[in-house]
Amino acid sequence: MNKLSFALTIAAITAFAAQGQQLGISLLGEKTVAGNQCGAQLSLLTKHQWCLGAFYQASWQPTNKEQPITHPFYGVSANAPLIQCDKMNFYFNIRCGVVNKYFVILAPGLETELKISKAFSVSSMMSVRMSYPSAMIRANLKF
Amino acid sequence: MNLYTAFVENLKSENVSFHITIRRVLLTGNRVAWMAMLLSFTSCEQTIEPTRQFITYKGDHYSWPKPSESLQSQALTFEARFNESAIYNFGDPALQSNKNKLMGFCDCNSLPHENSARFAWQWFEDRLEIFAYCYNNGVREEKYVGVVNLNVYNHFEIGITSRQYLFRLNNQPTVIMRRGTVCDQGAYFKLWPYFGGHVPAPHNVIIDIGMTY
Repeated sequence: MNKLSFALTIAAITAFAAQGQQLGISLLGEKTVAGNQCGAQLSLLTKHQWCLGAFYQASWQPTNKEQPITHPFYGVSANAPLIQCDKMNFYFNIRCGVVNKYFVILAPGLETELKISKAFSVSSMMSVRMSYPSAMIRANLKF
Repeated sequence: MNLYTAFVENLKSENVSFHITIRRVLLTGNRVAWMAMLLSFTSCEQTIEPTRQFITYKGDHYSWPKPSESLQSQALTFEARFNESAIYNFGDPALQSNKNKLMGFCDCNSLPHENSARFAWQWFEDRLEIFAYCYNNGVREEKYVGVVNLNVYNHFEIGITSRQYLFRLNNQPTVIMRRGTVCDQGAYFKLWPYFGGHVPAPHNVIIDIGMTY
């Protein structure tokens, strides 16, 4: 069963990658009820504005020398386009991943992308983390 | 002529264009969202005070609200405050010693009656007693933890290790319970206040719970 699900996942990712038009790198900051987190995301974007990526984010406390990085959250993120305007796109976003190694979570959200140039854009996203609203800002670079 | 009609007539008379389009609504919404976002990020304080009031209504077992939330760290930590609504008398010691559930979580991908860890409480002999209440591979286990006062916040914590649950109440000694054989990686859904036992709440029972993340 594990092999089958692994094979299906690889097939799905390959199919998505085959349609991929652009590669994106994002730096992100998120404010959750538990504190601020920062991280990065690597994404594949299709010509129809769908986006699939992998992300890593964590709370960073430089003053805490014993454990400067806490609550790491990593996983996959998917964006589905809702409305497209001139320089603005609205997406439904879902992040699925693991927090603190063991805890699997889903975090849905709504994202607004503001295009600054052809390669650079910034996004704001309101999502739900730990059943409370969270706010995220993201700087995106597309290749 | 009502106020709105008067307002629109006034706009028309002054030749002011008055169009509400989806585009304008989206742009305005977006500006508001960005402003809120920037304001939110300029503060280091938490944006929301994560305290909820749970009410178990008379004749019911489950409390309200019923948030869907999962555990995201190796310790469930919260402050809880009971008030006089936690006092009840069923007249029968067997019913009076039924454990009411305060809060806890289902262990990795398990149901509450398979593998779970919760704090439980009962009003017994004129005091509010707190218990550790676990299901370990379907077998229920309880241990006395301590007594708390009404109308003050008390500190509760359930820590998870590979084989044990560690129950801590205020500064009292840690109570250790066995943990069942479960997976490591999965969903750990939180369990919220529940009255009973077999008997539903005899009156509205109010518990304030403040989560620590």
